[in-house]
Amino acid sequence: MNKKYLLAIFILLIVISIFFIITGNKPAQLSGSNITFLDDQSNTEENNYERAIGRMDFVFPGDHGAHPEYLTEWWYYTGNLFADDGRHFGYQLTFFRRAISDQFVESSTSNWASNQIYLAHFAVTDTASNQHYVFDQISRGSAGLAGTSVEPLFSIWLKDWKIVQLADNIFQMNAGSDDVKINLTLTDTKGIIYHGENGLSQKDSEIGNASYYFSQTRMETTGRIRIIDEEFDVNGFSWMDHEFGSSTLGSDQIGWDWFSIQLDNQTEIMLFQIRQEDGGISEFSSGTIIFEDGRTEKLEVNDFKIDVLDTWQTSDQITYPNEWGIIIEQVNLKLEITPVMNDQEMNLFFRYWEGAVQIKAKLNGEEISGYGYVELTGYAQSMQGVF
Amino acid sequence: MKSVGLLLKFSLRHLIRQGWQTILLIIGILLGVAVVIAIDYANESSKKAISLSTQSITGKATHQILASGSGIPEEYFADMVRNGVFNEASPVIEGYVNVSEFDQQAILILGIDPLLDFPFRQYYGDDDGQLNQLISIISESNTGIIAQDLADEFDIQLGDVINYIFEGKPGKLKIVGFISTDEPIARESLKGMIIVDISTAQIAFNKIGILDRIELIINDPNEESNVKSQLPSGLVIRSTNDQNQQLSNMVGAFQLNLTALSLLALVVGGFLIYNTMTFSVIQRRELIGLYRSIGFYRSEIFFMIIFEALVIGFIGTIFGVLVGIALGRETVNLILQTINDLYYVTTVKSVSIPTVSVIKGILLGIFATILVSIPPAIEATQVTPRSAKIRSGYEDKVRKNLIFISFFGVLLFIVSYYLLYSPYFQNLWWAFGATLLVVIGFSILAALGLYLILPILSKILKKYIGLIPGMAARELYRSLSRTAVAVSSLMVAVSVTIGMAMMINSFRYTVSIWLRETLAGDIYISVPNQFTNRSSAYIDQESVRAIYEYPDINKIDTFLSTSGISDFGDLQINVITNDEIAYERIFTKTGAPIENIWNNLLLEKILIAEPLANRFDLDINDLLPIETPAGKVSFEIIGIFSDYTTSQGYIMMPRSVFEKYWKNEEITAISINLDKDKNVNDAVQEIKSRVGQNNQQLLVRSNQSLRDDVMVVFDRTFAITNALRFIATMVSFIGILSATLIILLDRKREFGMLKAIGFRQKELNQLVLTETGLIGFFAGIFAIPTGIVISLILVYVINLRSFGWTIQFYLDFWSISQGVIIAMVAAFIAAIYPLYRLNKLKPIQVIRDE
Repeated sequence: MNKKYLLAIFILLIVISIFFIITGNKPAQLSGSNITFLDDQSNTEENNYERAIGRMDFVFPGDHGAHPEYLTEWWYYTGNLFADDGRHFGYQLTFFRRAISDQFVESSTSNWASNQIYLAHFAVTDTASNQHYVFDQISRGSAGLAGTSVEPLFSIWLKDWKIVQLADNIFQMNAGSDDVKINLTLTDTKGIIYHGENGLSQKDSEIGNASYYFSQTRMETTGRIRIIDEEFDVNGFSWMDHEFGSSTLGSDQIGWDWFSIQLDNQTEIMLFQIRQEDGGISEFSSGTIIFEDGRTEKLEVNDFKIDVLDTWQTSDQITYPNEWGIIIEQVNLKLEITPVMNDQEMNLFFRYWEGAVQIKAKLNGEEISGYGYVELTGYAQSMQGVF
Repeated sequence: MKSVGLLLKFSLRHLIRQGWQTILLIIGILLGVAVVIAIDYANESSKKAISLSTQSITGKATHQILASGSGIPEEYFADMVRNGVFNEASPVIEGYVNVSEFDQQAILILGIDPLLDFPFRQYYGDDDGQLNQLISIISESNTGIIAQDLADEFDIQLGDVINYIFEGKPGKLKIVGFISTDEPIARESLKGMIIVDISTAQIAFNKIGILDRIELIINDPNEESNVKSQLPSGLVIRSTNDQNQQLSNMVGAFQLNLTALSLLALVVGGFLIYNTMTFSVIQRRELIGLYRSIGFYRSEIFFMIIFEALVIGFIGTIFGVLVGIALGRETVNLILQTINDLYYVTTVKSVSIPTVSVIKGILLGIFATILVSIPPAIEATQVTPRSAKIRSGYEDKVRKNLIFISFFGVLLFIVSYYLLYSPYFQNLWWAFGATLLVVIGFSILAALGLYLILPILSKILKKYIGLIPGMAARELYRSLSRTAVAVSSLMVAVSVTIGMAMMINSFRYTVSIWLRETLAGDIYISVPNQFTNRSSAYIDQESVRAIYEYPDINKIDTFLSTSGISDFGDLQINVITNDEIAYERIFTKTGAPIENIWNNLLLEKILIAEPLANRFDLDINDLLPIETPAGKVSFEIIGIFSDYTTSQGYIMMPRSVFEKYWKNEEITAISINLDKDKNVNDAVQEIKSRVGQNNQQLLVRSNQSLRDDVMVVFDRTFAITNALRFIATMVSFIGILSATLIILLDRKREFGMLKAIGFRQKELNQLVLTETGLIGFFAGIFAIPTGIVISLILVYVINLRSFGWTIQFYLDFWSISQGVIIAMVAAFIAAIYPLYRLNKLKPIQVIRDE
C-alpha cells in the first residue's frame, strides 16, 4: 500500500511541476509602453540658428517660402466666409515648420534625411450648427511629403494639404479630411503688410527675441466648403500671417492673445499682447492698423487697451477669455469682440484657442461691423519653448 | 463496486510485480509522447516565432503595398501621399544584420518614418509624448532605438555605438533610445529589432530612392479599391492576412511533415504497447480464468486491462511530457534554423511553452495507450474459466484468425493505394494516413509470413544445423500468438527507421547529383548572408569591376535574384546571362530542343523550377502573368527544371528581357569559368584579395566549396528528421528489448523443465539466443520491404506534395542493413538478463509448482 501512496504523491508532484513549467513562463501583465531616450542633446540650442535681428529686405515669392535657418516658422491662413444664404463659416489652415536639429542634412544621400518637421492645423467653424471641426497632420520636411517651394511661384504643402500660388496675388488652397474639406481661391487685394519695424516684430527686450512678420490682411476668398454630406459655395475674406524666428518669447512670457480684425470699411487691425508669468502685459505687445488704401500705422503697447469682458471654461476647467472690449484712442475706435461660438479650442499636439469672432465697432461714433480671428495661447500650457 | 476496487488493486500489484515489463512499457510510451510533444512544441514555437517576427514587422497594418522586382520608387509614395490616396501609410525599409554586441544573432533593422509609423506599431504606446522623442532619430543620422530587454541582456547603455554587418558591409549605429512595453507579444518581437529612421536605413542598406514596402491601415473596403486604382504599375496592394497566409502555407507543409513523422514515432510506440499489453493478457490467462471463475464479469475484466493501460499510459505520458519539453527546447532551434534557411528570417528565438502542445501530448499519449489496449482487453474477456488452462486453444484461434486477417491486410493495401493516388485525396494527411495503413498491412503480412515460414525453417534448421535451433524455430511457431505480435510490432518500428533513413539518403544523393550537373562554373561570388541560404544582396559596382578585371577568365556570367509578384502569388525571379543554362539544368519538361532554349528565352519565354510549377500548377506553354514596372506581362513557360534550393521555386529569365521591363541592373552573384589549366584555388585567393580591398565583404567560393556549403545546409535542414529517425530507432530498440525479454521471462518454467530433464546450460543458451535472434532477424527482414515502401511514399508522394521536389529514389543498402542490425542487436541484448537468470535457476524452484 505504501508503494501506491508514494506513486500517487510522485505523480502529483510531476503534475504540479508541469503546471508551473507551463504557467511560469508568462510574464506579468501590465500595460503601457515607454521609450527612454538619450538626454536630448538635439541641437535645439537657439544660438545655433539665425535670429531675427535687424532689417530684412524681403523679396517675393522667395520670402513666401521657408527659412530653414530659423528655428520656427508658420504660415497662418484664417478667414470668415458666407454661403449664398448668409450661413457663416470660419476656417483656419496653418502650417508650422520647426527645425529639430541645426545639423543641416543636405549632404545626405537619402532624400528622407531632414532636420525639419512640418505640422499643419486645419479647422472649420460651422456657426449655424455650432460645430468646430479640427484636424492636424505632421510630417518631416523632406521626401516630397512636406515643404515649400518658390520656383517659379510659392507653394507650401503637407501631405495632401496645400496652398499654391497661381499668380502674383492669387493663391489656391486645398485641405481637409474625408468629411470636411475646403477648396478656396484667395486673391490678395492689399499686398504684403509688414508688422513691427519693416517686418521685424520685437517680442522681448533681448535682441533676437523677435520674429520677421508680414501679412496679407485682406484676401478676397471664393470657393467651396464641404461638411459631411453638404457642400457650400462660399465667399468672404481671408487673412494670411507669415512669421519666422528662432526665439520669440522671453523667459518670463507665457503666451499671447492675437487679434486679426477685418472691418466692413476695408480697414484691418492686427493686435497682439504678450502675457507674462506675473500676469502683466509685455511692453512689446503691439499692433498694426491697415487703412483702406493700404497705408499702415504701427500701434505700440500703450496705443490700445484690451479688456476681457467674459470668459469660457473648457470641460476640463481651462479658462479662456471669451469677449473683449478694445479701445484704440488715436483713431477713436472702440471694438466689441465676441466669438461666433465658444468652443473653438484647438486641442492638438499643443493646445490653444483659435476662433472666428464677430465684431461690433464704433469709429468716430459711427457703428460699423466686421469679422476676425482671435488666437489665445498659453492658457492650457505655456508656449515657452514650443514656439 | 467493492469487488472492482479489489480487481484494480490486483492489477496495480501485477504492474509492480512485473517491474521490468512495466518500466519498458512506460519508456515506450514516454518516448512516443516525448517525440510528439517535442515536435509539436517546436512547431508551435516556430509558428509563434514567425508570427511574432511578422507582427513586429507588419504591426497594425491591414494592407501592404509591394513592388514586383526591385522595390518601390520613393517618389511614388510621395505622389500618392500628396494626392491624398492614403489615410494612414507608413513606408518601410528593412534588413537583417548581425550585431557583434548582440552575439551575432539575427537582428532586424526596421527603417521607418516615426511620424508616419506612429499609428502602426503597438510598442510606441499611445502617448503622443513618445512621438516627440521618436522624432529625435530623424534629427541625427545613424541612430537607433532598441528594446530595453535587449539592452539589459547585452549591457548596452544609451549613447553606445553598436557594430553590425549587413550583407558583407560593416556599419555602426548609435543607440539613442530604449523602448519597453509590457504587452507580451510586442515585447518579444521588439527584442529582435533596431528601429531606425528611414533615411538611416536607406543609406545602410544601399536603397537610396527605394522603399521595400508601404504599410497601410485601411478600414474601409472602398479605400482599398481606391488605393488599388491609383497604384502605379509594378505595385500591388495585398492584405496583411494574405501576406502572412502565403508564408504560413509555405512553412505549413514543412511543419506538417514533422508532425506526421512525430506521430509515426507514436505509432511505433503504440505498436509496442499493443504488443506488451497483448502479451500481458496472454501471460495471465490462467489468472483471468480464475477471476472469472470466482464471479467477476467480463466487463470488469475489460476495465481491469484498460485500467492498467491507463495507469501505465498516464505515468508514461507524464514523463513523456517532461522529456518532450526538454527535447522541444532543443528542437525549436533546429526547426527555426531550417525555416530561416528555407523560408523566412525570424528574429524571435525564445517563446514560452505552448500549453496546447502539452495538452495535445497528454491526450494523445493516454488515448493511444488505451486505444491499442482495447484489442487485448477484449481478448481478456474471451477467457472463460474452462479455456484458461489451455494455451493450445488460444493458439488455434490465432491461427484461424490469421487467414481472415490476411484478407484484411490486402484490403488495407488497396485502400492506401487509393488514398495515395486518387485526386480526391490530395491533402497531405491522407498520404500519411495511407502510410499508416500500409504499415499495418505489412505488419499483418509479417504475422502471416511467420506462420508460413517458421515450420519450414524449423525443419531446415533441424536438418542442417541441429536439434536445438530447430527446436527454437518450432517453439516460436508454437507460441505464434506472442511471437507474431512481437515480430510485427518490431518490424513496424524498424521499418520506420529504414524508411526515413532511405528517404533522407535518396534526397541527399539527388541533391549531390543535381549540384554536380548544375554548378558548371569554377568560381562563385556572392554576398554573404547569414540568415538564409539564398542571398539577394547586391554586389557593389566596384567589386564587380574588380572581378571583371581578373585576367584568366574564360567565361563570366552574372546573376540577379529578386522577388516578383505574379497573379498566383509571390515568386523569385532569377536573372541570368549564362547562354549555356539549358545544358546546365536537368529538365523535367521542355517545350523546345535544348539547343534552342536560350534563343527562346531571349524571345521573352521563361524557365521555371519544378517546385514553382507544382505550387502554381503550371505546365510548359502556360502563361505566367508577372507584375512589372511597365505593367503586367505574361511570360510563356518553355521549360521546367529540377531544383532543390527552395520549396517555393523560381523563374529564370535572361538579363536583357528583365532589364526591358525592370530598371534594375544590380548583380547578386557572379560565376566564373577559368581559362583551361588555371588553378581554381589560386584564382579564388587572387579574386578574394582583389575584392577584399573594397568595403563589402564577398563570398568567393570554388565550385567544390559551394557544393560543400549547400550540403551543409541540406544536412542542417534534415537534422530534425534525422533526430526523429534516431528517436524512432530508440523506441524500436527498446521495444525489441522489452518484447524479447518478456517472452523469455514468461518461459521461465519451460526452461526450468528443460534444465530438469537434462539440458546443459550451453544448450539452453543456444536455444534462447536462437529464439531471440530469430525474432530480431524476422523483425529486421520484414522491415525491409515495409521500409522501402514507406520511403517510396515519402519520396514520391509526400515530399513532392509538400515541397514540390522530385527526388530520385536511391536504394541504400546501408540504411537497410542498419535496420536489421539494430533489430538483431536489440534482440541479443534482451537475452542477456534472462540468460543470467537462467544460469542461476535451480530446476527444483521452477517445477515445484507442478
